[in-house]
Amino acid sequence: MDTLIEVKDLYKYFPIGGEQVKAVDNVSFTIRKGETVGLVGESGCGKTTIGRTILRLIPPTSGKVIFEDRDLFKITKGELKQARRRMGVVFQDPYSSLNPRMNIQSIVGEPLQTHTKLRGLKLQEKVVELLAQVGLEDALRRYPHEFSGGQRQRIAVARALALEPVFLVLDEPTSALDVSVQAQVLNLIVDLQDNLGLTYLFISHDLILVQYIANRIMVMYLGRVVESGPTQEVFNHPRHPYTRALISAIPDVHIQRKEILLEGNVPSPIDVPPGCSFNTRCPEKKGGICEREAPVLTKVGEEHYVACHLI
Amino acid sequence: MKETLLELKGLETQFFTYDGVVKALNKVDLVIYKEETLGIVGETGCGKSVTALSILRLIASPGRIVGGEILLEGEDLLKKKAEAMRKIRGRKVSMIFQNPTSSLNPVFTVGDQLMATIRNHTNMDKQEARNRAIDMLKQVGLPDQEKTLRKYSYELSGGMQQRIMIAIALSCEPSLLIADEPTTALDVTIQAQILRLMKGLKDKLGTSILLITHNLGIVAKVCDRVVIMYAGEFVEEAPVKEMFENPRHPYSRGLLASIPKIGQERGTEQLGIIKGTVCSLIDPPPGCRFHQRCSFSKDVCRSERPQRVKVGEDHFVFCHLCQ
Repeated sequence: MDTLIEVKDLYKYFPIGGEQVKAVDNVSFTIRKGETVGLVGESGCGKTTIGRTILRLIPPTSGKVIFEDRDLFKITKGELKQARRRMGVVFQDPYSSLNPRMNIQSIVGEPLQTHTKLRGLKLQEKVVELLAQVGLEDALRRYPHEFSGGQRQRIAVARALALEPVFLVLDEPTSALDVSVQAQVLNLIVDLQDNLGLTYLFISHDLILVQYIANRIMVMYLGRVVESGPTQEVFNHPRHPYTRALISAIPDVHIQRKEILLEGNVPSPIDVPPGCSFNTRCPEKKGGICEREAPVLTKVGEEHYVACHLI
Repeated sequence: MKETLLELKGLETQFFTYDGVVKALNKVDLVIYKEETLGIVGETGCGKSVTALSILRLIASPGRIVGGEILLEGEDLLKKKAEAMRKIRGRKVSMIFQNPTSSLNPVFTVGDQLMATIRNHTNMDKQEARNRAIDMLKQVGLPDQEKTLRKYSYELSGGMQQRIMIAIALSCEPSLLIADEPTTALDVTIQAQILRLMKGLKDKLGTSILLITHNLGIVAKVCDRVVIMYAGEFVEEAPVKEMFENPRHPYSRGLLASIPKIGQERGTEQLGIIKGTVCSLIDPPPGCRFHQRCSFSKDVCRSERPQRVKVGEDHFVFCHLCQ
């Protein structure tokens, strides 16, 4: 399969006071056309920052994002506008991502007005078509407050699809929703991908969701990718101690696993421990080397990479 | 034989809003046994938290408990005077909330808040209360207890704050701990720590826990029995294993089908969905409140409220189809 996005040596530090929050610390990966990559990790590990940097919503400290063979941070304004048509985003909270003063027609129609010459009746027809795709045909003249969380999230999906993008960042699209509503939105996301051939970066802290929806999965800890690989492979044979603990901590209805309990909290991303950033909580720490040297991603199987000294 | 700790009989709580009367709890019955963990599961707005707050009589205006009984060890809490009720809250029944950051007071130290609770409910002097506080912090697994006592809530992480809440809630050894979504605001690895802690303390102190959550996985992990709520009513109650293996109510089945399972890939099966949306609680439909969304509904479902039917050992369903 062809590569759609390539992220190379991406760093994103946020300066706070005199210090640096290391939100993303040397991350590289690729996303291929038509696949869903799941990005998991706990709050503050840099998932959302990666999503936003890929869309060029924030500039990186250093590194490259190559989207359809172009470096997003080197292209001209005109080229960026073109690239923006090809990508979309659905945010976590559908209550704050829709403008309460705009009706649904304006919300979903806005990207079309910016990027296309559609106006008037033609524009309206297109908006109706988009809303029909997400099952909300009669929403046109209504306002966001008239809709439930699940319906709002579908409106956000319709807006993201307006310009027929090839790539969507889905940043925790269902974590504000109830389970039965979550199922509706997930089914919609899956159907749209099957019908339109979209590529997704699916960001979530819910491992069960990610294993359901993603082809490949990347596990992040403190701004670094600690393990990546095909979803079922990572789930069935997790190699990194952090991934193992995460998977064992999933409260699951159906299987009771032996739980690996991690001590303590995630260290502050301002003051990342030297060596392997997980060494302060790792139950299998080997000693010296884990505290001195940062492990690099090493191939352990077909497309399966782990950053750990134990491997 | 299981001993009853708390019993709700025909409890009815309503909110009197400008739009009409919201019938948030519709004559519900429930028993919590001693030393058990009972889970209440349901979606947003189904009445889980209202049940918890009703037990503590913390329903704020415009809400009111309009009928029923809440029997704690045989005594009706609804007949207690306000002063007597204050002695029960925190002493016999205590509660922890979803968001520990907003449950702790940021202008008092952890020690102030912990000791205030202890001294309110016991005759301990300051030094004794302090020792008790330190002991509680030890029990919830916080290091440097002396130092932690002098800290303010904003100096602690979410997981540590929730540990403090648990320490406060259990400091007077209540017979019932109500935990309202205690881990929803926390990360998965911290969630696992807190659940483990609650389970350990429950076994040690013999406290019953009423755990409110929308996460069925958590129920499977820590609860003995579970009750599923829908639109202000209970629809099914059963021991946890039985509920997951053999749900009987159409809503329970729908809810269980809507969560992805490990190993379930999207190519093989779609997630189950429950069609439609929750009915209005101001103007609920007659009969079974679920009938408009139920694919099996019959005439009787539209006219009569289903009764509690026993379908197995400790397994009860409110559904006409199971009669």
